[in-house]
Amino acid sequence: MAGRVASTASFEDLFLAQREHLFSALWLVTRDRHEAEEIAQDAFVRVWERWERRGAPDDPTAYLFRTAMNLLRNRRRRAAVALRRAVGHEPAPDVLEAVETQDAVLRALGALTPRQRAALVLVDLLDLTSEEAGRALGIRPATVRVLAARGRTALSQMGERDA
Amino acid sequence: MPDTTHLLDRARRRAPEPRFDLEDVRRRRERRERGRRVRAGALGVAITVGLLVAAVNAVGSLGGDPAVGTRDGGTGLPVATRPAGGLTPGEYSYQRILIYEACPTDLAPDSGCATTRLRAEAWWALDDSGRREALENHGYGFDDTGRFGPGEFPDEGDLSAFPIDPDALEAFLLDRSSSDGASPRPDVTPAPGVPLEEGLVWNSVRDYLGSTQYLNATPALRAAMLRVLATVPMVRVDVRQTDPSGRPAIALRFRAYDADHEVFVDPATGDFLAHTERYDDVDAVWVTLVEEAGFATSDDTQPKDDAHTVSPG
Repeated sequence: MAGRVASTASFEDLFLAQREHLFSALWLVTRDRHEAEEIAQDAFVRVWERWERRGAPDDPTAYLFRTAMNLLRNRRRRAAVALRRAVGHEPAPDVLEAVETQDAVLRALGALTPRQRAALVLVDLLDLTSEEAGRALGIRPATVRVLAARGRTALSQMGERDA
Repeated sequence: MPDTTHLLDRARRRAPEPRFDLEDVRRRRERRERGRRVRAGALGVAITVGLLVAAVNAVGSLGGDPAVGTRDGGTGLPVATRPAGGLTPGEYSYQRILIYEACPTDLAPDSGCATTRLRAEAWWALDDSGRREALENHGYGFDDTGRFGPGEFPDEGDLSAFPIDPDALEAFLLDRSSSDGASPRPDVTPAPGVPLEEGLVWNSVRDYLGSTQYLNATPALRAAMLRVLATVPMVRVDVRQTDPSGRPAIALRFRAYDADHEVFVDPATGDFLAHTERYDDVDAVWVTLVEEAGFATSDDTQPKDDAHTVSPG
């Protein structure tokens, strides 16, 4: 995972190192700038509170991303809205709409279910193992692999066309 | 085929600049703390009312016949006729587990379904030694196999502190699951209208039931976890059922986290038999089946006769 922060660092160091990284990963999963910002900020708050109560987690970066994915699961209703967007019942939001028309990869991501997107981002972008991703998403490691495999297939096909 | 990581990285570079800084996070944290202080006062009143309601319900449930018919949610398991005893030094807790994905017949060949199947055996002793073997493994990620010396068995944690009294175990699991606990769990409600705590109970027991990560869960601990799960209001308890392999079973049925779950319990020993899960956005059904379990005298033998807590079908 890029920019990993040691447990000896401060919360401020973690924030500076991971703000953009976490936000952009969440943006890919949620396809919604506002939601990605909300979840990212909430995740930082939770990690900050934990940091002051019990000290730094062993792996602050991993803990931050796990917390963010937990919060993402907590927004299942929003995920359902995102899913409806993906099949065209609602317009795609803000900035995404503009860039989506130019980028086949983003269009392909939009066609995946929220969980497929999350599995793909966690495993292929953030380099989590399927066990780690499974714990973050609350599903079995093998289910992560299935979801990521389907996402990978769709993404690669679109990427080939866009290449 | 283009590298997916490269494609995702390219897509991520399209992300806009995040519009928050550390000061925004600080303010958000202060708001959250203020909200928490306000809710703390209200919570004290709610707990008192909840305890009164629970006490009234407990009195009302006395005298029922727990062994007959289908009950509404969370009413608990009937008493096991041959409950699993404890593991003694020198003995092994044995499990043979089959985990597979049952795919619909019309699924596309490249869907990724049906590629995963694991049949594994494990022997675990109180000194955390034992043996793990994969009898079949198609894409499951069950790598640590062979014999392991004391303290070396590949599990994800020591379970010796887990109480096997169901009431104590439930409190213990919820404490572990809390955001400050040893194994924090997502603060997410399991289904519309179902309280957070019920999801926490399920999330905290599922790791230990048919899991390859916790093959050190003993029959008594698994049975205690199932008794806890059966008392959760979202869980419907159906007696006189059969599990996916046709064995007599008590079924615990519920919906959680976008999936329909069935957990099957051996009616005689109270041990875990099987679990099925059907996710809304995955066509397949995941099946976890304990083919055989019990107490073995060595790490190359299976349990004999009454030493079984799950008998081979």
